[in-house]
Amino acid sequence: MRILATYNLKGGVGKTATAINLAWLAASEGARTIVWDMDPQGAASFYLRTRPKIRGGSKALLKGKREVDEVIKGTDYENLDLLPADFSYRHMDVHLEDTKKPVKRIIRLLRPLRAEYDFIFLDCAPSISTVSETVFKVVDALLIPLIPTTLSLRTFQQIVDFLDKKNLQHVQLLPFFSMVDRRKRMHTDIMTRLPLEWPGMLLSSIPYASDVEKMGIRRSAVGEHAANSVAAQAYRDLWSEIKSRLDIY
Amino acid sequence: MSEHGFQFVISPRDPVETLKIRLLRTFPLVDDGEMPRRRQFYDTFDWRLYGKGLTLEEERTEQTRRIVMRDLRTGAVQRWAENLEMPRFAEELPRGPFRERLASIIEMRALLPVTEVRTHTHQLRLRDREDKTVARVEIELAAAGFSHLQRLGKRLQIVAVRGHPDPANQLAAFATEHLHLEPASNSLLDEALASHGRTAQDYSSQPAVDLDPREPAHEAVRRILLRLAHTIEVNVQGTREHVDTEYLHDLRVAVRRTRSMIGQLRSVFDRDQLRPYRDEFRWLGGITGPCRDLDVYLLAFDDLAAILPASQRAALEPFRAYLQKRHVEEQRRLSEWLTSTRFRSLMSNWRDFLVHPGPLYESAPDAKRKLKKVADERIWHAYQVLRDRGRAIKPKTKAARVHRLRIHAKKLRYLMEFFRGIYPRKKIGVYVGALKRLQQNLGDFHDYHVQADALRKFAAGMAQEGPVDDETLRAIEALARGLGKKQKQARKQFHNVFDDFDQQSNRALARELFRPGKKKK
Repeated sequence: MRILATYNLKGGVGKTATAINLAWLAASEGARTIVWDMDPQGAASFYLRTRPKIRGGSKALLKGKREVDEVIKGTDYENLDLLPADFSYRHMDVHLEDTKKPVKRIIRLLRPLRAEYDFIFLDCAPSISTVSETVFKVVDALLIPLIPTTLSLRTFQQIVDFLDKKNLQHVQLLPFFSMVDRRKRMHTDIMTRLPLEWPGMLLSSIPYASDVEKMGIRRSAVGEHAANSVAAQAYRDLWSEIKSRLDIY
Repeated sequence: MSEHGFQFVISPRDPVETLKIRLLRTFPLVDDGEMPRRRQFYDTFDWRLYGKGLTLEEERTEQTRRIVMRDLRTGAVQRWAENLEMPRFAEELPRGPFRERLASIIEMRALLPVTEVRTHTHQLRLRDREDKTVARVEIELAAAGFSHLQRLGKRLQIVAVRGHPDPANQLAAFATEHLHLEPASNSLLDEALASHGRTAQDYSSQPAVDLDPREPAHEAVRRILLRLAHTIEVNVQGTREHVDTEYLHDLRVAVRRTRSMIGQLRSVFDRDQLRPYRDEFRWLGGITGPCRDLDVYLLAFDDLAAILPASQRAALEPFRAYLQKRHVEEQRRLSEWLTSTRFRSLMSNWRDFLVHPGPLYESAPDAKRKLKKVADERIWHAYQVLRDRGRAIKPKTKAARVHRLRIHAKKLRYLMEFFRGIYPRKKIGVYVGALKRLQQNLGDFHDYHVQADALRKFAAGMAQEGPVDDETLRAIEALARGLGKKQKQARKQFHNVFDDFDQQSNRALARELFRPGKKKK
């Protein structure tokens, strides 16, 4: 079982699209897969046609008053389940801080999922908080979509600095370029420069594509509604590279 | 979590089309069309997948081929892997979650085809207001058999999408109340097996038979021994063909159990009649030993090698090759023994003796006594021996006495397994658990010793056959020393493990369960 989180401090970089498309690919290969939509905006839940609502909210979940098994929802895809978002996740930090040992709490919450699923994708909210810090401590890898812009690079550096400061250098970072527009000079420049500065960078990248945006209309993974598109192929390449990097298969 | 779903049997009189139309008229179902499939079911000889409530199929359609793991009861898909043929062993699959899951269930056992089913499935889906699939419905026509196909009952299968139980419940209620369908009493796999005269879980290596505590001991013991004879016989072919290592393992365990029973329950037989069998089963135990030892080394080779630093492991490869070569030789020898007149005579005479014991046994002291009394006495005696000899072991006691203690523990375990059915299930389960922990420690101590010894002998054998690289010899010696260290650790732990076994609550439990002549609660 592997836990992979899609994370960036910056919003609108393609975290949720990445989580959904990679989870869909894992499930369509036959692996038991779940996405935990940790973002109170509930975009992942929306894509998977599920109401972003958990009875009792994040408090009940974190305090163990609601078993995780009770709130999991299946999706249109065999083998792909969802732990939906809830608007109360905006207070998840407070609820997590209320528990004395947040990491243990999250580990306990994930325990039944570990036994059942081959892959757990955590779709994180764009912030640095107790929740994200806890996520860093439980994941096998952090998938970081980066738009090739100066601002994006700055936030990536902030993530790296934060991990250093918290003695979390061991967390495996898998940054990759997202929403790439090769017509833009800045994009191509940064895509040449950053892999030299950061050799751990994934080689696959996701293009800026309308097929990805259509996920909101079709409410499905790109591989489902545009199987032969460039974007679908890009996600397949990204997933292959991640599996190989994590020595999964 | 278990899948939520329902299976119904459709009467042969009900046309599938009519049923489908009624469902489509009542529920907002999406018709996903029809799918013909050829499904070959696989399991291990001892039904490990079935035992976990799973099925494993190689499923072929006109365009696709995949290996699918399903929930036995509902038929819901659990995992699959595309474009693969069914492997013989889990380790032959490409690395990944499917292999990990399969390996955790079947371990070292081979997958064997158990039946083939051809299905023609009408697939429907129920969607909610968000256009999300909330239940899956399949109407299935099926025929089973490898060569001669036999038609099976038509089925309606309803599987809830997780977190959405209500729509599936409504569909199931409709099936019962309006379509008047009966719930299926068995799975598709069970029905397919039954169509060619098989039942799932038709093999278990356990010696359990139905026992009556008041029946004469002689009859019960003979039944158990017949069961063990059966276990030996059904494992012969798999052992000879070396389908996997567990046929020989189960065969040997059945032989050991037989020998233990002959030794410990000899008072229910005429001793002179028993003597030749005692000798012959000792012979059988002996001839099956070398091959099993090599199986054990080869199965555990990578784990054993992990004792050494990574840099030294490659030097062990010639040793692995040597063991494999020896295995081929021993396997050939064993295979010949198992077709020999001596073996066949032993088994047929033994069966004959157990079925028609003749009048001589009547004079045996325990033959006609009640089973419970004899079992209590034998188990209590074995327990006392183990307890007293265990207590006598001190840190400086010689290793040979610890090894003998392992045999005593095994004798007690076998007796408890033979007669388990006449004792309160939970209590004897607790006691077996306590004994198992002690046996694990004693087994480790013994195995490390024997393995270290054998490694050095193998190394000498290799050297006799030809020049052996010094690196390899050093790696083998390092391995033997590593095992020696582990043996010392096991010995250190023994006293704590034994004290645990000999604790007050376990002693009281043993007294309550087995002490003869006392009123049992």
